[in-house]
Amino acid sequence: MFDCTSESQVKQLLSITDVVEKRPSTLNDVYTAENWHRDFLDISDSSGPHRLYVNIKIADFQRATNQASLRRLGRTAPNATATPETRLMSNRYPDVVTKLEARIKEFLSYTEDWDGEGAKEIPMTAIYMSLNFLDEFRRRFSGDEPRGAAPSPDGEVALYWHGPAGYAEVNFDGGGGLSMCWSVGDEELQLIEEKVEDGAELVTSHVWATLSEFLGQSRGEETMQRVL
Amino acid sequence: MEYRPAGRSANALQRVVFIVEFSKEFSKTDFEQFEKNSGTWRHDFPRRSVTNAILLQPGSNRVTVDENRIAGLSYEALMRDGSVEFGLRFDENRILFLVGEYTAWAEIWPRVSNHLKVAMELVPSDNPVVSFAIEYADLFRATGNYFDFDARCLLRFNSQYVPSHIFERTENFHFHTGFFQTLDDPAQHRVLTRINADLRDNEEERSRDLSIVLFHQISSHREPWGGEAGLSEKIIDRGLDNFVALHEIDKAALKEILNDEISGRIGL
Repeated sequence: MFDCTSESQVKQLLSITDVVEKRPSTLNDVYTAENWHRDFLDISDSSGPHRLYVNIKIADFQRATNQASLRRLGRTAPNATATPETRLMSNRYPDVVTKLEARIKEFLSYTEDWDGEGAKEIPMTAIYMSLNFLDEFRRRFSGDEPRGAAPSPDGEVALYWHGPAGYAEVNFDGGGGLSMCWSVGDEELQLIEEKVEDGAELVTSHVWATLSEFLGQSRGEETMQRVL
Repeated sequence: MEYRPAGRSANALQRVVFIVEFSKEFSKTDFEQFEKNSGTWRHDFPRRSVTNAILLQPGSNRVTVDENRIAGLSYEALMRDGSVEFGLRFDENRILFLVGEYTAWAEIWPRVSNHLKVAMELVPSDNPVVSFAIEYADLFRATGNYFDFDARCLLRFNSQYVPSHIFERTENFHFHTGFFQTLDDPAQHRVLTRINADLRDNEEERSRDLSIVLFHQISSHREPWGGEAGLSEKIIDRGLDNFVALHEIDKAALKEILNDEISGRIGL
């Protein structure tokens, strides 16, 4: 499709079509959702680099697709042609997001009484915080993404993780409040709450540190089970 | 059939993107500066995300992400339908400002120019601007009996930008064209215009949707066979007013594509 003469040229020429066409057929959200649990095991005992790549890089792939789409916007070809590029994608401006991001963005439409039983509207602040949290999380803990996201009737967004080692849930409310409840093994459920003034500083929060620790324990537990 | 502009507000615009391109890719220090100064726009654009560089390994079909290298920073305000209302993005060597809820130039431009001005001032002076560009995406919708579609009801017959054969068609069509034009005011520069029009079926709305994407870019004057000399100081000094000039160019181009009635309805 193109001449790969240097990394910078490749980056310039990478199109959304390139990314999508190179995506293996097994790489889809259903696969990811169903195999979330197994991914850790495959990674710890990978049968080859391709397997590792297929499982762990789906979020990266989707982000790459998104970025490639943006990169093409308004680019002028180096030989100074006025030829327009194919506009099939940019006419629609698709915002290619991961399944989790898409799920959280669904909550934007959850207005007052969204469950028919008097549920509160999901505040924009809670949605922004959870999206920002998820983005930072993916960058720092690739492969440990939350298992899912859910709205709560009291107007919060929850991200949750669970596996054999335990369960953890982080909640975002509309007032900048952040809470985490978790349990490891047979231990009782624990809870911490805090207020975060700026959503971008989530990585410095106590919840972030506690969640990192929980996932470290969880990963160790799963590896142990695999070994046994 | 009934024909109407189908923009998000009382116009045909679905999205407008303002693009300022610099000569070099932003460095890690640049991205740190953007982030450090993001308090200026963070309140307006609370959704923040980072994109890492993409690595495509030559000779293989792998696309991976270079987690150590930031290639983009974006700050957005979302609408309740999940789409971007406004967005400020720093991407490789460009600053982009996205407007998803375009009302009128007089309303949008002060906001756009304020944010772009602040953002551009964060780029080091040894990384000059090489182009200014705008992309407009307009949408028009026709509803009624499918085969009654008549392009004359939206487009200008005998327009220099519209191929004549489409006026004989009731089924879907596409046309595109592009051209450079050298202008002298305030100094020699080139304006690239790209036009893409596409008529498609909208299954959900049971309508015929005509999208028109116009892209306009101000870049360096180019002597035949001599390459580009770089953007003139006078153009650089004109700064954000280059977008005002591009806006006028866009209005003239769109007016040449659309018929008088539709042009009038969207205030051209």
